[in-house]
Amino acid sequence: MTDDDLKKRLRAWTVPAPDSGLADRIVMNALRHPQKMPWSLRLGKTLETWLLDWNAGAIYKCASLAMIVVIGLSIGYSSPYAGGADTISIVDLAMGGMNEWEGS
Amino acid sequence: MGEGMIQDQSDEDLMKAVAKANQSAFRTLVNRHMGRANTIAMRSLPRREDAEEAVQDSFCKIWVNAASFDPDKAKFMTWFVRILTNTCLDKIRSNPPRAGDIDALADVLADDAASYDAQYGQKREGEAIRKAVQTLPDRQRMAVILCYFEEMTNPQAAEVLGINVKALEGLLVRARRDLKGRLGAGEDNDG
Repeated sequence: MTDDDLKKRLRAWTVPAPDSGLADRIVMNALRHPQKMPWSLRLGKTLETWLLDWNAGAIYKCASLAMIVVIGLSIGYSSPYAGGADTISIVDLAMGGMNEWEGS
Repeated sequence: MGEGMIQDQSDEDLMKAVAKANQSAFRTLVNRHMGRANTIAMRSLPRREDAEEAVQDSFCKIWVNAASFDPDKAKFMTWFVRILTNTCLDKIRSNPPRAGDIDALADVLADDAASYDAQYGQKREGEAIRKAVQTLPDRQRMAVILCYFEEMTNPQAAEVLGINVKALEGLLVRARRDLKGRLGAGEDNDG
């Protein structure tokens, strides 16, 4: 038997058509399951919601804002100019340095 | 999206809609490919109920994982047949066929056609082929089903089975040798 004869002969095997109700059963069975999203899409969607929807995670957003304020204030108070530093004194300091450099 | 418009869409476009939980698009895909899926599963698995379950499970996986389908990586049909083939292979491994399973359908088919000699002869021939194909090792059987029954090209079948073309050709060579031996021996016995 040649390869072509074998292939022709194999085609004699036919299979019965599916049950008429199979399509409905497939659809009903599948729709009972929730759809999964790949992690990259899930991350993108979460980020999008967080960034564009002001209401999403409002507690976390407020907590983060409060944390930023606390960190900002603590850095401000612990700096060498804390309490006494203002714009003029900083400019004076810088000018003094420049005068010294020009004099030398 | 209208029902008529959905019918005209390509599989890849329908999958985009399925990823957005469009049930009409999913139903269209099921109606479009259920026949072919049933044929592959019926040829892969000896029990009809297992074949039907494999088809249902495969479509369920399509629905659940629709968002993972990337049309740039593979055509829908390749992706779907890969899912179906793997589901069938899992079923074979978890529930290996009993000796009686392969014989069971033969009696049913033979009864249908007993009154018509020509039909009877054709059914008997089909049954001999079914037995020969279903006794092949799993991967050889899948290679034969995809290449000789579904008429996929070797690269397409290799992609579905996740092997290279050389390995697929090796499977087909061994399967052909085995089938010729079995079907040739059957001919000798009958004649």
